[in-house]
Amino acid sequence: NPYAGLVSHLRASWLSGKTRPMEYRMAQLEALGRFLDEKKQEILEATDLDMGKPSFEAFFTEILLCKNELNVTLNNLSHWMKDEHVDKNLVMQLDSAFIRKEPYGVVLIMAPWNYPIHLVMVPLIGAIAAGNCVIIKPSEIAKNTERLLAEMLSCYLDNDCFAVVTGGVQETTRLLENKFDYIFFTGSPSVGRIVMTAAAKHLTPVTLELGGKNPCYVSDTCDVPNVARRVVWGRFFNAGQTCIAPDYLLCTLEMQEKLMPALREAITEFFGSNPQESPDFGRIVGDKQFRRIRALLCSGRVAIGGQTDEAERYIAPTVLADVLPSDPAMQEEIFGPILPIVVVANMDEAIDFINARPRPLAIYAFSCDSKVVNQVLERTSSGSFCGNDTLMHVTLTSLPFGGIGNSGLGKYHGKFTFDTFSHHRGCLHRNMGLETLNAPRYPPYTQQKLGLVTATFEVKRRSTCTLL
Amino acid sequence: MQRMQEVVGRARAAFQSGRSRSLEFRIQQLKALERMVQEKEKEILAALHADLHKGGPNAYGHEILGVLAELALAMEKLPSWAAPQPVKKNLMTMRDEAYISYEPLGVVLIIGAWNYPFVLVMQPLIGAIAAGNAVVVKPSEVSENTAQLVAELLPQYLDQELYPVVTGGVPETTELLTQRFDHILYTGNTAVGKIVMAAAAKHLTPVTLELGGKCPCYIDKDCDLAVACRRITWGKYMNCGQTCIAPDYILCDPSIQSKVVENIKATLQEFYGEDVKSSLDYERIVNKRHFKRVLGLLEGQKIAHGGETDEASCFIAPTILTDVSPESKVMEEEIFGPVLPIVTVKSVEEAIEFINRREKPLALYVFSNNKQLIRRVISETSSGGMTANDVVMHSVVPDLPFGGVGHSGMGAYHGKHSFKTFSHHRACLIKDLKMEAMNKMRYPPVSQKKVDL
Repeated sequence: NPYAGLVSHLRASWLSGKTRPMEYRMAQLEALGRFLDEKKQEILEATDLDMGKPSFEAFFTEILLCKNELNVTLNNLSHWMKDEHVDKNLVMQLDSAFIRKEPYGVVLIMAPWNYPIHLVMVPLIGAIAAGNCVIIKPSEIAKNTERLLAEMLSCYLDNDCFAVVTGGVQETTRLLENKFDYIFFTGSPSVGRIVMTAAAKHLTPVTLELGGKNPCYVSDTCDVPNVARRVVWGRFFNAGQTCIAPDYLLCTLEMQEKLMPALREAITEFFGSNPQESPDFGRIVGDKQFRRIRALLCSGRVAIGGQTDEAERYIAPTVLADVLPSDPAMQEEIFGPILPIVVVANMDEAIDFINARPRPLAIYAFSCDSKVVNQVLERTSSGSFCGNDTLMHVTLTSLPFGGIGNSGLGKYHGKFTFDTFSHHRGCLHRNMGLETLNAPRYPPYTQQKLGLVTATFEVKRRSTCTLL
Repeated sequence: MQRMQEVVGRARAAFQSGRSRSLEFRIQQLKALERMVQEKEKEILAALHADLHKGGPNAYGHEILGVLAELALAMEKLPSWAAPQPVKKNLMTMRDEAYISYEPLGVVLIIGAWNYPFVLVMQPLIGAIAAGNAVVVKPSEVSENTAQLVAELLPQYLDQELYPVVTGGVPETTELLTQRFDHILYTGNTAVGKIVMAAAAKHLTPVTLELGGKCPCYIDKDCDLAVACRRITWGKYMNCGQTCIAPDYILCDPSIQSKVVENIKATLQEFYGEDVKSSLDYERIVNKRHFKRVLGLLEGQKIAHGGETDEASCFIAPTILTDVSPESKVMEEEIFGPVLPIVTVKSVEEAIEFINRREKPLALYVFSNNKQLIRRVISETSSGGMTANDVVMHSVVPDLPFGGVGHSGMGAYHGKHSFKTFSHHRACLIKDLKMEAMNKMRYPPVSQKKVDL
């Protein structure tokens, strides 16, 4: 296996224990911070070349959000690493019971192309913070960013413990034959299945950050211009290539009529009358993806946009009206700058529509009536939920970020990343004395001994104690 | 195929009806389980005796007591476990509601094991019900009396559609695993664990795997040998060695090996009397297949104590092996029987190295008066869980997560960790539809001013 040597080299480094001390981890994390600062221009250029990522977006997601995660981690690492002491029962009062956070060993992070630095950095930060050695596999589809990471990270991180592997499907398949102690994958559900199946051969635990169609319900009582702006922002960010983008809108016919001019206005406000000339609107990452998304345009009717330019891989910010559930745009995750509107009669129908489909990564609901927002939240299931906005929940590092069902398993961001890459080991350090306290548990077993054991271990319901 | 599809389909429909969501419903089901355990105590103990030759107070202490404690804990804590957890907000979200909502996953599958057949089905079930799920229960067919009893009793006390019991062996389990679940908790061996995870991967189903391995037990020269050996004897030979967290083998300095043997012998006498076979407190190997397997491990070994067997009753006496070679068969696989090999090592460094060369075990034990040494063993090894100066006991601390790492498993449960395992932690952010001025910062078109902000 072409990667067996690399994996065993990292494993040897792991066994040497060098990634365990907090000082080492902090130093590596600080180096990552320097990478983000010193290579800012290179990052903006690479993501621009890869998918025409507007520099504001690139700065926000690839640099700023990563630095946030870095700072939260650096500020809290010593606290996160501490043993967590837990409650003890009567017999164990002189003992020490705690949860020890331990690194897994050699972990693999597989990142996709749409936020190519961010989706490497944020898991990497947690993996390093937790004390692991890491192999990073960026996406070959974002060629320039892949090259940047492969060339640059080795200048900042300890090459004995952290390595970048490049390549396509074949290389990834061979890489996955090796034994890792944790695999963190961001990508599509179909590849997620392949990764988990490969992981099962070695009993490697996994976190899978996948995707799906994120529904966005807009109720009849809402501030239309604000809704339009927030939806347009979330949908067309990165030219729609965002796993948590609002994938499609659900609203009544009346609301569709009201929203349309507001959506048009928001698009013009953001990108000008010709979005192709706006420096703030991105491009599709590759020809294959461009053609796939373009084919979805024959759904419903094009109410806004619809223009495409294959040479530039440009697809205009597009809104499709009166889309049917059977239309092409409703069969797969769009991952492009197209917003279909599916008309429903009311909120109940919208909720039924959502629940009849695989559980998505995110659900959005817009309403001035908080009861409506809560209804949608309570009667559906999704990785996460955001009321009256799009995308913003991922900027809060104290919220767990992950999917459910087809949209994934596991979660991360902030402390959740550290916990994801740590084994939580239950530890009990007992006293060698007080052996008489143990006597009731030893054979020969008697009812009397049982009574004593019961008394010391049983949890009594509060209600029974009030009788005394 | 159809039967499994129907059972799981009915459970899913029942889940989708929403009736398992309310806390009142969940507590009502847990109360019913509590009644079941109290009212059917005799039947449960009889089944455990039939399956494993487990005596009354023993079976009660090891299986029923833990279940009642877990039920009481869940009913007590459920409102606080299930409450939405507000999270720390940043400047941009100061005026918003941000919290984690704990929601049921859907339909959970619990596959039990035969060695503690009642508790290993009940304890996960309690957590899964508490978290609001529908649960398909598949007890181990090897402990057939308990499996039969669970299949009879659960429908008498619980909602029949939400919590069906499926019985059967490998073919039935294989069929069951083709269905889609929202979480699978499996207790058993490493080989089948891989099969379960591969089946789960097809549906992207998260799994908790409680597997096994060889749990090492290091005895330092500096320790109260009498106490250490008594505690080790208790944990090793309970349930005839068929305990996933039993100390599998001992590592110690050659100079104390014979003292260790003497102390364990003395304790065995204290526990089971002169004639172990006639002690009501000593169990049997679960079946002939495992009997033969454990017997085979004694081949070529130096038996310092025990070694007597009786195939007809699947009896294997508490046995100690000395000067065991690390390459021998008994040091290859998890023993899961009343055979205790002692491997000598010259130092704690050697012990740590020995342990680290092998797969990460479910539990690890170290006995020493030297706190520094204990801290060192903990820091330089990894295992699912561990206890210093005792064995098994970390598994009864309700707030410690119980699970493996590497080949010994993934995920954890017990107490609130069960609730967390069987819940979806959904991030919720509720913003105001007004206050648009704040948002203008992030919208295009972009100017340098915005970037600086």
